Amino acid sequence: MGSDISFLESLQTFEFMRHAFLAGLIIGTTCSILSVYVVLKRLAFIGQGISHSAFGGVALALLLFEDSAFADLKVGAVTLVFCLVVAVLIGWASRGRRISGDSAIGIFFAVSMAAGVIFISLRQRYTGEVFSYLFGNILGVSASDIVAISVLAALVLGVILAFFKEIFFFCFDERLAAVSGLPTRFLHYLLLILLALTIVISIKVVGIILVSAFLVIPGATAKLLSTSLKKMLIISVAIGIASSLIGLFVSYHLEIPSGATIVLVQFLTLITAMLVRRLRA
Amino acid sequence: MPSHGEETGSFNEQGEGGAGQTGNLAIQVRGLSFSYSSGLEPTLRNIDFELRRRVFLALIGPNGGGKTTFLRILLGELQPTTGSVQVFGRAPHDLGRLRAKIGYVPQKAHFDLSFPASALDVVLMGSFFETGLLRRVSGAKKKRAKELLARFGIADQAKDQIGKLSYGQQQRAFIARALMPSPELLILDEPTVGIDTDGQTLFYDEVAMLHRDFGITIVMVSHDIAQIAGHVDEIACLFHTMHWHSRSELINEEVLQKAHMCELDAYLKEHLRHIDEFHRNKR
Repeated sequence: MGSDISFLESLQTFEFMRHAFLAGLIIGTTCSILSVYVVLKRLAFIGQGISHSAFGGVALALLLFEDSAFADLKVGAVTLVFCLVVAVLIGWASRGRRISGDSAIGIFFAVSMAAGVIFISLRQRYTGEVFSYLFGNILGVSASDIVAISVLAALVLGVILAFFKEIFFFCFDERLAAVSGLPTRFLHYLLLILLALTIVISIKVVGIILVSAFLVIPGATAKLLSTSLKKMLIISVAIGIASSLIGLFVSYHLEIPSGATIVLVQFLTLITAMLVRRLRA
Repeated sequence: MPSHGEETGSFNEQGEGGAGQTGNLAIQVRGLSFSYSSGLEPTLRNIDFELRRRVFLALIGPNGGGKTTFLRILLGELQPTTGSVQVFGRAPHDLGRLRAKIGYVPQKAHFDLSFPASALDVVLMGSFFETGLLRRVSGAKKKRAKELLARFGIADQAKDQIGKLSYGQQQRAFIARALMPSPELLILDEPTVGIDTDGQTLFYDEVAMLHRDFGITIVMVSHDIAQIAGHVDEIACLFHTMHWHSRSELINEEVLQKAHMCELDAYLKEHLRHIDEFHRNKR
């Protein structure tokens, strides 16, 4: 296996490789920063619920707008709105008393997937491109995708920076934060909305199924090696970026799917961190 | 059932409070009842309670008597089923900026021991509300946080991960956190559970010093009557209803003996049953 030109040459030669490289950097950074909060606030299952629910949004958008002008933009917009609505609903249900949070997530997850399957079946045509939404296609990222990803990533990171100390306290002890006067309900929904935005921008690159790994593994690995939030964020971002680039490099040379390769690289860093921690102890 | 306070005298009846003097009251409770569900027996019944500013009150009572529920109502986490509660003249859930006047130390903070926060980070959290959204914590507040850590003898652990500190050191960090915004009312919910006896003595001395030096109003739930007896101004006993006592009335040799023998819960229940019987016979 292997390519006729090197990875670096491919970056110089092919625009799609440069887009993939940039998308890997942006998604790697954004997901790994958010993964810190996903791990600290134990939102992994909620993240998985939102990402899988996105399938319903993608399928609905494809059904409605696939053949219209600006189809990509419309599909992205519908998926975004769908994910935001699901995030708010999951957030509302997880704070309620009638149905437990995990049950609510499981229900939204399954119902959205079921709706998605029905929307796909209604299209009555070849459904191959749906596969790329499930598992991502980093090599199919366009220039306009890069612009959209950059804008939303900047928004996510800007909001995290603006509410940095409040989110930190909220993740540490929600009850104490509420009693101390912080707007914990607002912070709860804010985190879920940021999660939904990050998932939407990551779907095209890593896919609905694999985005969960991007939102958990860098943060979980960094937590094993950190005693401060600052250190955890730096390590998580380093893992996010390095694994994206290494994954892209390896997948290019072995001619295997990029998103899946990046996830496996992330998993290797997690195993390494666990070994390092054990050796330190 | 009438509140024992009506007969034995609350702070209000001992010379302070009243409608015209609410400015001198830290807490005012009128006819408070609370039930977690409409079908359940009320956890709190018909409580009238007033607490002047600068008073150190110990709230004792058997487990399951509603002490923590009462604190949660004072903190605005729960709403009264009937009656009214005012803290500094406002409903607890609607304190606005007055929220910074209340410091709270839980029995046990619910945080992940591997959470990446230092003792200093935790103390600084106490300043976030005052600092406001979108603003950074000032250098002056960081200096104050370090001074508080030094006051509680954990300056050397300022940069240590909070979960790696001993339980006693963690509680000191949490009380330092509660003191960050210079509160006028400090609410402590069994703050010494899990701390050894020497640590408890140190802790109570520190709290008493805060009360003495800064005139902070303190409400402290505790089972350690023997330990706190020398520090508090007044004692209220809560077992669904509130029963007031002057310190000397409740803290006698028998109580101390029972406290040491860990029979306090049973003793208090018996004591409160006698009080109820007394009121029934009087009626």
